[in-house]
Amino acid sequence: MKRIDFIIITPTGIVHESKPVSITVDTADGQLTILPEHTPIVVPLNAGEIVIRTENNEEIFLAVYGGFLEVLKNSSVNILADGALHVEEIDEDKVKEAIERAEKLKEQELDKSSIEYAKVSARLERELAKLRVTRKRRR
Amino acid sequence: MAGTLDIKRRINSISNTKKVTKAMEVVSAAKMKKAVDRALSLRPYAKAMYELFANVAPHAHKEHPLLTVRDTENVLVILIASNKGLCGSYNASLTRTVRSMLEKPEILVSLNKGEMMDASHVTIDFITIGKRAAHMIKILGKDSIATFPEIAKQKNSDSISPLVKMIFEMYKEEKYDKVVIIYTDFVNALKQNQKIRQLLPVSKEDLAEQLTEMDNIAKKNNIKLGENVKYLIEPSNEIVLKALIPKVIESQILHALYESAASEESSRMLAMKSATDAAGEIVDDLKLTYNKIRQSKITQEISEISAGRAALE
Repeated sequence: MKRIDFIIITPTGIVHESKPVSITVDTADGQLTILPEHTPIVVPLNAGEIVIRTENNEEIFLAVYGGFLEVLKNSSVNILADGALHVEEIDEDKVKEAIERAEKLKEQELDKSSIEYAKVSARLERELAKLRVTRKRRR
Repeated sequence: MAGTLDIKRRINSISNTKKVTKAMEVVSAAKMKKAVDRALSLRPYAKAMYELFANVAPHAHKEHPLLTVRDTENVLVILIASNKGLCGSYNASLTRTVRSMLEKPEILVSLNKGEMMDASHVTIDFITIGKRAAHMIKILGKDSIATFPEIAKQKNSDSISPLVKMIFEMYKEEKYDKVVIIYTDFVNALKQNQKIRQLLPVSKEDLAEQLTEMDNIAKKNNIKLGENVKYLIEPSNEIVLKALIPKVIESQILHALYESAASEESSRMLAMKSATDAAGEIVDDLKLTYNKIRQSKITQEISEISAGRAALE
């Protein structure tokens, strides 16, 4: 069976490297599943989850934020992201705390054009993405 | 005898200094290792990001404001130096680079162009990162329009976002026609180079140069890179570029910051090592002098005693 050369790169290093059979990502236009021999494409990703299906039909879940999906020729796929986390590494309680903190901050920062507001929103979005991924996996 | 107490005191004080410099050396060595690790782990990301950009940019409309080259009149220089001193020639070398740049602004205008251009009309302003950088600019008689000492302390994409936002706005308002960054490139613990790189307009030549430098690293990390791939770009060129360019700039700045941090710590480590060595030498020297004085004192006493006995006999 054909497989994909898949790698997730973040500024802190290579988070994930594998040869799966399919990858599903969240984009602004909805979900997108990449299979081997996909045509070269570049898409910005939403903060959300990545589902990687391995050869043995196992599923690996990752939370990712601020990134791009880049499909190259010969079934190689790169994801360049600000950050990515395996679902096992996410501590749900900590995420919930972070969301509460961020929401409070967001209420205080009413000036929507300020840098602080943008920062807090980005952080909130990123934590929410983590939470979505953990919830989904539990089910 | 007179000298000995003085010498002893000096030996004590220099031994204490030696202890301090030794401790600083060890701390810097640990910090350097961390900084180098971070710099190395950023490299594959930066490399992949530049490649992606190099592949997407040719499809862009030429008039994209962050890609168009304008006639250079006002240049904004981002200077990265340290917050603290005691790091050998690290800051001094940067001062030298900045001074030669100010004397010859042609370097800035002709960056990535090959031919030298007239630069008599160019004005240069600075944004400084690190207290020493701000100080340096003041000494050179220039103004820094903004200073970010906190970025030198905390280096991540969150902390640099205000800086990125600021340079974008100023570039878009055409307050500056070119933004460059000056930092110290970490080659190894003994060798660091001062570098001038262009941030805006995003220049393919400059990225290409950085890419060749990084090539070996990417090979080691086994990253597949697309060479001149014709992509489908979804949802549209503009949207992708709008999201991509800040990331490219951000990763360039982060790269510069990490390299600088590694350089700073390694020069501090070396400076502290030579300080420790020098202190050791002085202590050895002083001990020798001290012993000589003690020896001559004893000899003198003995000769006095035996002279006294000889007189009695």
